[in-house]
Amino acid sequence: MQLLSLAAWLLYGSPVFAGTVSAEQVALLDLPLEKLLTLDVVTASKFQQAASDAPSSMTVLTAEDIKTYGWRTLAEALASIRGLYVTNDQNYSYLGTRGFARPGDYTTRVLLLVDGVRTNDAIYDQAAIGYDAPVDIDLIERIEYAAGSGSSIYGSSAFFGVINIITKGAADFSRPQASVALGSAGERKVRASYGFKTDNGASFLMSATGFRRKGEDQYYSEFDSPDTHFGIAQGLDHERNGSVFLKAAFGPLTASITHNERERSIPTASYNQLFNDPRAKTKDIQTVASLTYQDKLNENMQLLSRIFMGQHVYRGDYTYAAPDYLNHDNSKGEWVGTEANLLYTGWKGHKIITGVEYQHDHQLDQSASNEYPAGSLDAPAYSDAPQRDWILDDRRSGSMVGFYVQDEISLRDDLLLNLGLRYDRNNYSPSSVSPRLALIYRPAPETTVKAIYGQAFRTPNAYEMYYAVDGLQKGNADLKPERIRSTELALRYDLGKQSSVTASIFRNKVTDLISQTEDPDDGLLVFRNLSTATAKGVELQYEYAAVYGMKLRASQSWQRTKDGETGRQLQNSPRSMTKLNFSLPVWNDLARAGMEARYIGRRLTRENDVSGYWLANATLHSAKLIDRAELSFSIYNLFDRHYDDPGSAEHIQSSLPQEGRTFRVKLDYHF
Amino acid sequence: MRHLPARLIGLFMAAWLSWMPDAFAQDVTQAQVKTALVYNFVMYTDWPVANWNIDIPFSICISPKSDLREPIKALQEKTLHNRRIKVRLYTEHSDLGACDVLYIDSRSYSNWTQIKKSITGKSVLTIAGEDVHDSDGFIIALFLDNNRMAFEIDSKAAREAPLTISSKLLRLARKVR
Repeated sequence: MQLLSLAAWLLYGSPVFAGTVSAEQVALLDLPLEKLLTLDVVTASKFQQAASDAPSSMTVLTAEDIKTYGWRTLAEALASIRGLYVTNDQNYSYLGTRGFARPGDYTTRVLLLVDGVRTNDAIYDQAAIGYDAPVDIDLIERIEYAAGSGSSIYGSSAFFGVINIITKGAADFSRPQASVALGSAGERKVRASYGFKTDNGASFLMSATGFRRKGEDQYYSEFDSPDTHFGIAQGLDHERNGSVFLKAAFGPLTASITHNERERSIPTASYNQLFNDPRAKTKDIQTVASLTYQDKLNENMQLLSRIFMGQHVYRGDYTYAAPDYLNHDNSKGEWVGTEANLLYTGWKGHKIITGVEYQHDHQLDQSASNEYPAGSLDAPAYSDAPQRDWILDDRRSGSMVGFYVQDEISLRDDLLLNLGLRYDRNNYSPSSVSPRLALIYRPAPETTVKAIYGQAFRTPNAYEMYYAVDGLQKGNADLKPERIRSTELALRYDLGKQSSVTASIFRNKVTDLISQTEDPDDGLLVFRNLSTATAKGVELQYEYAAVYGMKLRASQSWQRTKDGETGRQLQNSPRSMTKLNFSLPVWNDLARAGMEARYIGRRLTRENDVSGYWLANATLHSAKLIDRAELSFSIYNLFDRHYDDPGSAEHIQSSLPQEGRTFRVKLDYHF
Repeated sequence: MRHLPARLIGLFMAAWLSWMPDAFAQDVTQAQVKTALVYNFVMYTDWPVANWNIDIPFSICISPKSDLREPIKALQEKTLHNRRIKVRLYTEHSDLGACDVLYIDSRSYSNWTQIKKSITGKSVLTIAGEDVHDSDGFIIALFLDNNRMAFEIDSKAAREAPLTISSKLLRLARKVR
């Protein structure tokens, strides 16, 4: 036996032929072991290639960026991307894109995907980016943001951009991890995550997070009178959240469940509520489950098919005076759907993807009721018992179907033409056709030029069409989809292997913009396809990344927006934004310091404006200080700057003061 | 604070650019770093004196399909305590007991139980190249953590080999079982 093996060894086990050895490899062998363990390696992912070929301007943020800059929410991460800005109304965070952040828009014009699954809810279309986001930010491997119209592939809501979150896998938590974070204003967060693989190759990841923040007393000068607690909203900045993430993968199958519950007090007395009433709060509970099959059918064909279902429950408690009643504003949306797409590469020079998507919203329920205490004089009728008066009970269902095809044609070695077309129809508004055309030219290996034209749409949602309450707001079943035409010219130039410069000019024109307005006939609020609006601008970005060492991302964007009706600049639209993200190893590589600064220019509000502001955050993160632990310390709003975000129609305040300097320490421990 | 003029931002960028570190500024691949790690593991491990024969090359065995096949050639230019280093490609018929180091990629994990049996009692430093759940008897298991390579050590498996792992490796391992 031994002899046979030896013979086989002689036959097969040949020494590796001598050949050229890269100087780089030789140099690596001389590097100290400690240093080797700090080198960032390039994984097999072809994403970089894909990003430069993509028919849009892409930005990618990684798990490492999240740690380096101490980002606590998706909103904080997205705020570092060129062209994006976040408005916080002390209840929800909303994303603005390239100068568009309509007051009252619940981030309905950006599509948020988690591992490719749509998470914008069925009633408000909201992309949740605060603590209400579908997954804990610690579970994110990568955030990809594709600016511009994405409807030609993704359909409704991929209006200004698409955010795709790629979650971590079981291997990232093969040792169980516990995480604790403590911060200013009574912020506490705990998380436990564990991943494992079974002998047959199946892998499982489970993670649970609990978060609580006591918050700080808020002062609003508009309420500064003895009747309204001198403008101080006491203990009304409270927020808590719990989330669960489960993922299982076996061969070509992946199943995942995201669940998030989040409750937030409302300190602003929005919607003419009683000021400083501790009962005012909103609660959002969302669960999305999906099962995806992705496999190569043969050398030229790749299939993805998926079934998904989701539920979003919203409960708002609003408090009203004279003397005292509570308004319950509730909704429940439930949806199921399926999608499939086929990638075909068998035809030389073409990369064809074709797909179909179907979603049935079997429950779109909105209700509102007023709860009166016993004997209330305001109740519709006198009663000795507490009573509830229903003012809205709207039940709907709906469904949509979309078909799309995209072909990436290699016209020449240096020229790609990307053509996409999608057709969508649903049972409550006119159908939509969304084309996209992109020409990607690479005259030299270091230069990429993209010219992109696309059309996108957003269908009116159930809230805009059917929310109606006597004396306040009425529905509008005749709403049409709003549409956008976007044009972009982008240039990327690589300066060596570590740095690049990106420049883009864009123009967005929105027609039939769905806006809330007051009907002059009856004084009721109503959504109408009112205005047109345009935005044009320029973005510049410089990026530098050494394999280890310093990293820098700096961007500047200028944009001009115009309301087609008034000819004025849009509200909440900064003309200039600057973003700086900079990190470097410190203390002989023991830790990494991450610093970010951003400037958001002056923005118009309903009445006047909020001034531009600079904001800086700093984080120190170390995976080496303590054995098997990662420790980080962050300071947000480092220089304790005072700044405001514009209020929207539901606020008496035309500007809302934002948080001052806060701290956070975080410890992740691997068992 | 007023908005920084573009000129100042340009200056700022130029300042950063001027003191960019240039060592390893180019991308390094996983395979390159793994190769360098394997070399370090070899240097910081002691084989039993009885098995140490300067006349026979020190054998590092990898699969012909291994992604280390190209970069690991660099090790053949090195010596280890006056022994030449040879990289050998193994197949299912090979006598793996003749290897001093056996580097196994995840695609060969399915045969691991069998391989483990065939080298029982031999002083073979076994290295798992990719994330392997419960290092499963590999003396050293490599894995990727946040784009950086890390490793763990199974000291029991090392003792059984028997191989002596230096304290430096034990200190830098993420986990020692």
